[in-house]
Amino acid sequence: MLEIVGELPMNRREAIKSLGIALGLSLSPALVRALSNPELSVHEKPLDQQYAKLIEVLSELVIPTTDTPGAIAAGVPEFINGIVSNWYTPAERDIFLSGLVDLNAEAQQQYGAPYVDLTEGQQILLLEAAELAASEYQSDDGMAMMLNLDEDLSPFFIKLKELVIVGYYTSEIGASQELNYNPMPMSYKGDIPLTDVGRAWAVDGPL
Amino acid sequence: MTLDTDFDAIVVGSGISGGWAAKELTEAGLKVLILERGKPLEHGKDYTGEHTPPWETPFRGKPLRDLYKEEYPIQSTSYAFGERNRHFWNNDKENPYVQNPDKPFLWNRADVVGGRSLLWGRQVYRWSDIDFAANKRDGHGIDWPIRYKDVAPWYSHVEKFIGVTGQAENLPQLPDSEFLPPMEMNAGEKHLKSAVESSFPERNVIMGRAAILTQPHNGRGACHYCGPCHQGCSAGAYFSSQSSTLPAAVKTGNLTLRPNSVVSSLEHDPVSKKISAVNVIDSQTKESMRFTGKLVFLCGSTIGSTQILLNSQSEAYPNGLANQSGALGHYLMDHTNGLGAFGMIPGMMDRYYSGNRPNNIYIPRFRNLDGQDSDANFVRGYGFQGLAMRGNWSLQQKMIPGFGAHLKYALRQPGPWFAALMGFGETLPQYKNSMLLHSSKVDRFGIPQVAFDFEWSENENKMREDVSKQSVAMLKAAGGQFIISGQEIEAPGGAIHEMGTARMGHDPSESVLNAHNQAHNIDNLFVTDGAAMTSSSCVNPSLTYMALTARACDYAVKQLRAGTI
Repeated sequence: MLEIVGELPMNRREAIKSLGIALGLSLSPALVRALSNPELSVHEKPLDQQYAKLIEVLSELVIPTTDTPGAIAAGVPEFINGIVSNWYTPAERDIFLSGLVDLNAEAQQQYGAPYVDLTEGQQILLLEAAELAASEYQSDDGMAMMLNLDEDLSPFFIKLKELVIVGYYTSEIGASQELNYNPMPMSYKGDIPLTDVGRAWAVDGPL
Repeated sequence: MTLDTDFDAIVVGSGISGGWAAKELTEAGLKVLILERGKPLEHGKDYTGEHTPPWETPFRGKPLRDLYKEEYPIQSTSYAFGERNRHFWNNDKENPYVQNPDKPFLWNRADVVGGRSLLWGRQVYRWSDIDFAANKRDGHGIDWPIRYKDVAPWYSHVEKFIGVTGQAENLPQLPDSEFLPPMEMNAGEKHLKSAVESSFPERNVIMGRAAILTQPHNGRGACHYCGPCHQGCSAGAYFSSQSSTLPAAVKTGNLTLRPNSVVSSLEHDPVSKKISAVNVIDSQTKESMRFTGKLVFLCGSTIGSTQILLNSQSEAYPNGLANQSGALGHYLMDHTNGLGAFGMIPGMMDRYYSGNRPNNIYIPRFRNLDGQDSDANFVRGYGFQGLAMRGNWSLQQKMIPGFGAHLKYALRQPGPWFAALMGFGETLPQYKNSMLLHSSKVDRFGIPQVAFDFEWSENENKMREDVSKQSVAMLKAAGGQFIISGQEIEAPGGAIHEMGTARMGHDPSESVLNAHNQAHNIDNLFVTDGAAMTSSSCVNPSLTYMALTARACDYAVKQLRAGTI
């Protein structure tokens, strides 16, 4: 994975290069530059410690542990760290981090404690409020089939939910324990009872 | 060591057409040189993104936006582009063309041995006489110098080698191929077929025909239904020149393949009236080189081949090689493309599928088949590629409100059925739609950059309205709900079916090539890629490029042996 999480070695550029070589990726000089440009990543350590626990709590609220592992076990917080630190534009990062700050401020104001220290019921109420605040937002890329290269200024809750869902269902745990994943099906059966498969496919179709 | 620079035949390009030229010419005993401008790529070994699970894909497949905007703004518009196969694609920054913001034209290109045959959609359909006679029938463009009967045996020849999955349907507008067993429709598609065919008796919903093996064939493995062919297939289950024609050519011992070889121009000898040399710049060393061959086959893609001809000027051909007609660079076509309609199909909630089928369903042309339809305000027609699938987590994440266990359980089950129909419409050949060489901008090799002057015309716009209307009607017939219909055609070039610019014709005063893809009055020059096309049909063109290439090779070899070339 090219998500840069955790402590990076001294030479950021070299670290990224060796990651790329290990993965067999052909990294163009420009990609190495883009990924290793400190200006593109505001946070030298991915995200401040104060956010780490909060992101864990929020990830698990969106996709909790049930009869299968939840978001934390699937590595979603690390995925979110990688995206927010190294993939988001400054404006997108600002929306996301401001959303975290706002949640904590609401927690302090309403319950006199940081969000992570609230009861699950209180956490859910505040996150539902964030969802309500985002409900007016209309995305225009809902059915986009192509890569969308544009900056996405959707509000905090939409960003959080998308990150947790993508991070979870593209993880090994989410794809193969929660859903069905078969990289080498060997046949195509077009019309079979759902009960033969059981759960939805994690990777679906020719894309 | 002396560099061998003299060959029986030189083939420019190693993609769908070039691979076929190399195979046919080497198998006829000719010593062949392929000049490929792209980088070397080894079949199998260099498919580094093949079978990569999502959790090992950089940013889980999210686009590297800064990089793509900076270096791949054109290529990244394709669905097939991504981190798992970016190394197959052209770098737009390194290899630019002139884009007119008021008249955009998308030029998708590969930059490796194998060319776009690695990346193509693999749909293969024979053209019919409705296509070959279209220009003559309605007067748009010049008549094709060939008909279906001239190409039919070559379609068979090609299909038997590449392997085509499909079902015989006996439709006059879409002749059957030599088929391997068809792939199966899913429950949603079967329902759509039955609903559309009963509501619209003249329409057919058929299984897609694709250059994918449903059983082992000619030493290549059958499809294992992993899904994304365009990341490369080391089993060789889809046709690419890498999996099929190039290995066959190598096996003869007659092939020399030179990657990193940018052809800048061809030299014309006014005395012999033949091509006397091919000028090449090595993309790595920038060294200039010169190769000679008795035959020259241009298979560098529609735009690439014509760029070479336009850049080959001489006293005899001051406006570009083989351009005594003035047609060179003109009559550029693509297919109109874009969403026809997308909607939810209720029911069948107990039916599902397994495996990732790299193929779609197809609705062959049903408009203006036997003369002009009374309710059509356009000429020619269109077909649809389509599919049905059940909603998955990706499609449904924004439809299910809330978070927590209920969201997780909801995404665990496949959602309702959805169906999509994408229209591909025939484009008229028009002089004003053209490519040209820019007067001052050159690329890193000093070769003038290509510019485009292309706009959809009234006929394409009216056809597009009908695509939208008819696709909505068909989804409605299948009980579709929440139907979204595309209102706009994609920018030209977006179908990646660019054709024309060196068209075939009877008359040297209005065409570039004769009925054998041979340049009028330049006996040893053949152009057998999309540039040769005289009209665009509405069906996917690659199979026809392959058949025309094999046919032209047969002709050229016979002429060479007879001493007439």
